Amino acid sequence: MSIQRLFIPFVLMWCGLAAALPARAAMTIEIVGAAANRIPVAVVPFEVKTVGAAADPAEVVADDLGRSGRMRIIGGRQLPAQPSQPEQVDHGQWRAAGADALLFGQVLPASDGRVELRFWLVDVIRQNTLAAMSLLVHPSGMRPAAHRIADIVHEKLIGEPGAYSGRIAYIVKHAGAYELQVADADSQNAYTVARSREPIISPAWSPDGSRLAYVSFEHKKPVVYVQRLVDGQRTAVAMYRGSNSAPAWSPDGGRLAVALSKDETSQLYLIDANGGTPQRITYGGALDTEPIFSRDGNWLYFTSDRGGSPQIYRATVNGGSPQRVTFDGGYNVSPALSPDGKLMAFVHRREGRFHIAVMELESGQTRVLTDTSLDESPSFAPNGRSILYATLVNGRGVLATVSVDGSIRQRLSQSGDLREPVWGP
Amino acid sequence: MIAPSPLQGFSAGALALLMHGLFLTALVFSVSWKALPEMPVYADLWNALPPLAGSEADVPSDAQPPVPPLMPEMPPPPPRAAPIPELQPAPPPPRTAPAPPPAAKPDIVLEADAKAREEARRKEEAQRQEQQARQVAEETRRREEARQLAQQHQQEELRLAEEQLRQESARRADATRREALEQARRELDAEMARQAQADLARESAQIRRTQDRIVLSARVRTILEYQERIRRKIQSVMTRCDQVPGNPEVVYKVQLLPTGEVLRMHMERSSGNAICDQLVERAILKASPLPLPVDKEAARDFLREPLELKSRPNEDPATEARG
Repeated sequence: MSIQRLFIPFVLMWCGLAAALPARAAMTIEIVGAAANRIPVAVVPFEVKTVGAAADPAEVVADDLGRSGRMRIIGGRQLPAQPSQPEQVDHGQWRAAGADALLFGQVLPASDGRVELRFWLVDVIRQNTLAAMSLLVHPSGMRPAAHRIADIVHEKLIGEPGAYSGRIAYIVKHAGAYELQVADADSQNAYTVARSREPIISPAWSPDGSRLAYVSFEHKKPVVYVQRLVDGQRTAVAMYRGSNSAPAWSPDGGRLAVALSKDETSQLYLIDANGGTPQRITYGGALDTEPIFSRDGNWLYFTSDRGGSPQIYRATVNGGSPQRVTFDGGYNVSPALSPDGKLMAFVHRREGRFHIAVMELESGQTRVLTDTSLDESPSFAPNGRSILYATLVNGRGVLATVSVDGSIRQRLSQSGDLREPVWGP
Repeated sequence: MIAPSPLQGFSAGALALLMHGLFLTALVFSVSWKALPEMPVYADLWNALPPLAGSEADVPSDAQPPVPPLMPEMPPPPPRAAPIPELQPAPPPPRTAPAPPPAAKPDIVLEADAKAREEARRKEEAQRQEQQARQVAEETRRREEARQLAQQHQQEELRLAEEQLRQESARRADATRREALEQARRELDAEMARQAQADLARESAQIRRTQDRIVLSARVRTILEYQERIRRKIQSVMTRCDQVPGNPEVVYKVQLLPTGEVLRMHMERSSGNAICDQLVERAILKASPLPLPVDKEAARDFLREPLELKSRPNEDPATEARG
């Protein structure tokens, strides 16, 4: 055998050794990438000890978490056991079932007709309890409670707040009627806030979630209303000559930005949330509409064709010369700002198709998130991680969500023709 | 010396006559007899000289024996034996007349008895002297011969001795040389053996090193293989932490049991996001027991110190271009 012939492999081997044992003291192994992007979570049906049928919160939780795109649910016949208390948990058993975490709990009767939801979230790998909580709810509040549990699980496992317990508002078009509805974030548990034979458009949540502003054509002309959800009481805050449209709440909930054509073409005004004299913000012969407040309340982002094509601009609430924000493409409309104020979602037209896009305001970097063709009305989830929007499928409006990185898309189960969704607090 | 008697006087004369006759006879005989054997020697030499006389001259030459007695007086020839005959011929040639005397002697005896007697006595005397001389010469010659022989012998012995000595010394020299040669060969052998030993040692050391390297390289291969297995196993149960933007990295130090199970672990460096750290921790724990080499020696490399597990769950493995 030739030493020389063996020499080079040796050198390589030594290099390999050197790489393998950089300091010889400790061996370093780099694990790059991940085979999964969903955390496996086992959700065990809660043990119901109450009299009378109640929805199993576990089912709602499992649906929520499964829809997140961040967790993979182990349930049904995949479950090796059905514990309802921590003493019954065998970590190895759950680990063998492929679970990282385990959710189980009980529904117990409580005083004055309420029920207690007691639940545990256990990390079966690290063998510790991530959450052990109890919620006292009215039997009718079982679903919202379940969404809250989902939020807690989401936060414990993903590290950011869930958006399962939020509400959404949207417009449903029935044959011959329009309805403003509010539903749970999963589009279940919906109820009607306003109904009209004439179109209802542009719903907007007050920052505290107690009121909705919207535009109704019930008087054959667009009028801006603000309606309290708790009792349905409503006020027409802008009912001027011409068009009254596109209400947006200031961060403090005290004012609305609206688009009025009472003076010339559609221009932006500020108006008290309870009504009052509008204060004009924008000037010029162009059409300005769809205003939204910045997080700090100092800026208005809006759509304008003042540059020749519909683009997004911003202007201070004290007036002044608007600045153009979008430059990419000939059609960018319907701005929405993320809760942290860093991202702006909008409708972007590209090659004749309308997509949801998101822009990092600081860098101006824009990313198109959807591949459907008639997307509209983007709105951020309260956790800022996903965007709710509507799209047309076979001529029928459907609601969908997309994560801000575009990686997770969900379509909400529903019936009817849904438009203009908006994610509430 | 004996007391004279009549008979005694007669018989003494007769005896003397007889004796003379006997002597004469003996003389003649001895001369002729003696001469004969030497003839070839003479003849050879005479031929070499200018011709002086006929074949009869041989006898008279015989009658000149007195010359030979002179020879003993001469300094003994050099110890060489061969040259002697050459010196002898020199004296006889001058005498050419001696032939008649032998023939006249009978006549003289008859004519003058007393004279003859006297003559005979003289002759006898002379002869006796001559004989004595001859004997002496003979003796001398014999002694000389013996001496020569002895000398020769001695020389021979000397020569032999020398030869022997030479041979001996040659043998000894030879032996010495052989000894030296032998010694040299032995040394060479020893040196060669030493070198061979050294070579062998070096080679075996080389082989051992090579084997060590082979074993080591096998170990390195094993280590690399099992690092890859560990990497794959953890990666297969790792979950991305998409909630953290960018490419978070978490480092854990993990002490394994010989079974590959995680004995204990602690976070060396956080990603900055607790949930992401937990995801990595879970992946490591889920991968436990980690695959370890069956080979104890190689396995020890994984157990000696806590393993440093560096995880970047959000990085695409395909983009891992750096070494």
